Amino acid sequence: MHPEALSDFTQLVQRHADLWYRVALRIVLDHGSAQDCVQDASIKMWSNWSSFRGDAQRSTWAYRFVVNEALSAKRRNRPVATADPAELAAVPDSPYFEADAVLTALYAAVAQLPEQQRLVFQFRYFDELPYADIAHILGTSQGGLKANYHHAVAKIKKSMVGLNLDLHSES
Amino acid sequence: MNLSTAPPKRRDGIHVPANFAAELAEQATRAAVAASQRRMRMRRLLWTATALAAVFAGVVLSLNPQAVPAVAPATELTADEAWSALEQGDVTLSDDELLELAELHGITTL
Repeated sequence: MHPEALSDFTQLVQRHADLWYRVALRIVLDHGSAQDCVQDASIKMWSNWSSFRGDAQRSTWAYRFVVNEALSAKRRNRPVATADPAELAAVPDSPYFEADAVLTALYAAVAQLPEQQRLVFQFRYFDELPYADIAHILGTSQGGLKANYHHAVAKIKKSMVGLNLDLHSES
Repeated sequence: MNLSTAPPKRRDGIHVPANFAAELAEQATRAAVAASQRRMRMRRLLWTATALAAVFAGVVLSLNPQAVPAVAPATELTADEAWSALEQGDVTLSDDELLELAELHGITTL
């Protein structure tokens, strides 16, 4: 591989490792698994580096690898289904996670959402990604994403009545 | 006036220290490059093995041509051999075949 490509790749990883870890952690909810996801996603990014078509930004292209890796890891490590979904862990298990009562309640509410709504909410609310980028990452239409975000916000507001959280349901 | 140098609070409550992020980036880069080098080594090894196998097969075949599966030559029979076989009663022929063979053998009367 061209040394210039390696330099670009190294810079991309250095610039985004923090974000990739947070994205992976919010999906897999485990510190070690999130680190593995970042590493495995980076391996795949580098082996596919030359196949980047430039139809999105490199960072968005890379984000997609991290999300796919985290979703695969989550499916692999899925615990035996419990009768009550609320029994499943909702907040990340990481030394770098700090939450007050409101944020803990938000994570619990997000955990109850269907996967697509959960992902859209996280990308939009936590990472403030534009819909165009989310559409590229999830391979869906922006209209569908806006609808999903709207439904997610409505459900979260409903389950967090009385808690002060600034949620804007823009579309 | 805000003189705080602490990183801004993340909405998701995940505050990654800069040294952890740097270490993670280094690990990820190293793993990616190592995996790519491993893949290239494997590919090179596979090509070398394939090339060596082809060269070996070529050498074996050139030193021992009998090793080449031969196509069985078609059996050819001269008119004399056919006539002898007929005389010895080894073959039976139809009238037409007999006439044709006699013609080939230069026999005008049977």
